[in-house]
Amino acid sequence: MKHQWTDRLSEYLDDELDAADRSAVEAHLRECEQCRSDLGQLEAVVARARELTDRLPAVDLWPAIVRRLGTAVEPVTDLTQRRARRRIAFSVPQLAAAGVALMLLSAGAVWLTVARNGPPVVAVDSAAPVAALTVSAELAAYDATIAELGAALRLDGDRLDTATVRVLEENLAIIDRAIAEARTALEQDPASRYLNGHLGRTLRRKVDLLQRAATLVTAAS
Amino acid sequence: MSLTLLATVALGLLAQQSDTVVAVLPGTRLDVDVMRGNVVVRTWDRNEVRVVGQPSSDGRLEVRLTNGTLQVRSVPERGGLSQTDVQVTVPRAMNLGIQGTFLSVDVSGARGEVTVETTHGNIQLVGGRGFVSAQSVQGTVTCRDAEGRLELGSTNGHVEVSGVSGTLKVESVNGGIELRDVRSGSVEASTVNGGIAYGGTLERSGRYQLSTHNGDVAVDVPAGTNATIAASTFGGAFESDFPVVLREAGGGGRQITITLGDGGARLELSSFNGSIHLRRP
Repeated sequence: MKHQWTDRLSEYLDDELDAADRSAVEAHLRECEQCRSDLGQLEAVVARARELTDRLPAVDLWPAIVRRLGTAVEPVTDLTQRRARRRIAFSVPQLAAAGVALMLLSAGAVWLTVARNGPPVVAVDSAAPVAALTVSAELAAYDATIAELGAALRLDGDRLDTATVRVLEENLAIIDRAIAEARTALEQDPASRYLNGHLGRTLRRKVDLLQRAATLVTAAS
Repeated sequence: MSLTLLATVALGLLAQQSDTVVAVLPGTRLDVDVMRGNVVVRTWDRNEVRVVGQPSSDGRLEVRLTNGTLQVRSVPERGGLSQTDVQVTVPRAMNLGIQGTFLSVDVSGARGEVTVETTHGNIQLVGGRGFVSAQSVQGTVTCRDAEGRLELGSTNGHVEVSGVSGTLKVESVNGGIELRDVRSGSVEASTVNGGIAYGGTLERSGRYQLSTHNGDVAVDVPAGTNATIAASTFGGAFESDFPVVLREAGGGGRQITITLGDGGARLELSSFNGSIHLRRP
């Protein structure tokens, strides 16, 4: 199960938490090996994002991801353990999706880095095209990986009930349309900070949904 | 570990309609795992949990107290899909975890942490303190009177939130998001296909991020609000119920900033195809 502080590790890393929350996170980190590991990976991603140029992320993060997601499944004894198992019992194509998420996270980190250098709102600065190029470079890998995961989900689709498959497909189609529109707009205006950010957010939504689908497949197995 | 497991107390293997009361210590957690059915949770001022269950003929309901967790689980038999309806009454402060596949959940009066996950089914929460999470793939999620760190989402459904306080993260893909009477300095709401409406505090140091692809974004802005509003759209328009001075931010699409009073709260509002609307409540 997701911990209360799991989603705030990034804020912790960026020193954006107030004193009370920061103390709470540090107390949690002392007790939670999983979150310490997550924080370590986040630090690695951020460090890499600071160095990113217009190319794909290095693959040297894969072993850590594989180790983490490929942990052997233990017998279920309670819901907490069961939910934890759901998160880690991904197949190889699902690991690919996790890789996409990491790539997008890298792009997002670059985007945030760019954003912090400018005014706190939507004014455009000269670094925006860098983010655009980074996102564009990662789209190719994104498409390939999504196709791979899609094929895997089709193969495993009989593990899910038809109603769930239908809902997932419909929502993936909605996101795909949004991605297509955002891409078209971005072609017209590649320097737009809003469009770059919007495309990145929408891509992330697709990855989130695919990972949710993968979790459902795993849970249904 | 073995001793702990050996100490597990099987409180009941219930094949038919059942009514079980279990004494629990403060701090005991409730985990409910029902594949198909309805779960209703209510609270009382007793250190007891009452479980009233009605499994179908092809299933049974299992209630176990293990390592500080009271587990309520539907167990299908003979390959059945086991429709199970469960009503649980718990101490108000008890932390709750509820999950299922074809499951609707109704929780009211909780003052502890609440986590609900379902694939098909509506979730209705009234109350909850601390970490409150409700996620459905297909179903409406509603949450009222919760406090703390709230994470609410539905892939293919609306999310309706009212009377809550704390940090708020709300997501949907194909559904609208309605936030009313929110008291928060941190709100993040996003959907792909649906509108977003926000009514609540706009705290001086707060940050409010509302984003959609298809749909309008509407925010109630009371008179006297101090806020910096960044509004972005590609195919929509910007509307305001009150006079504002727009400052073009440039950079493609329609991106503007507005400063109300001395700034303060940061609002980041965006809709790719929809409009941004500032409303005067």
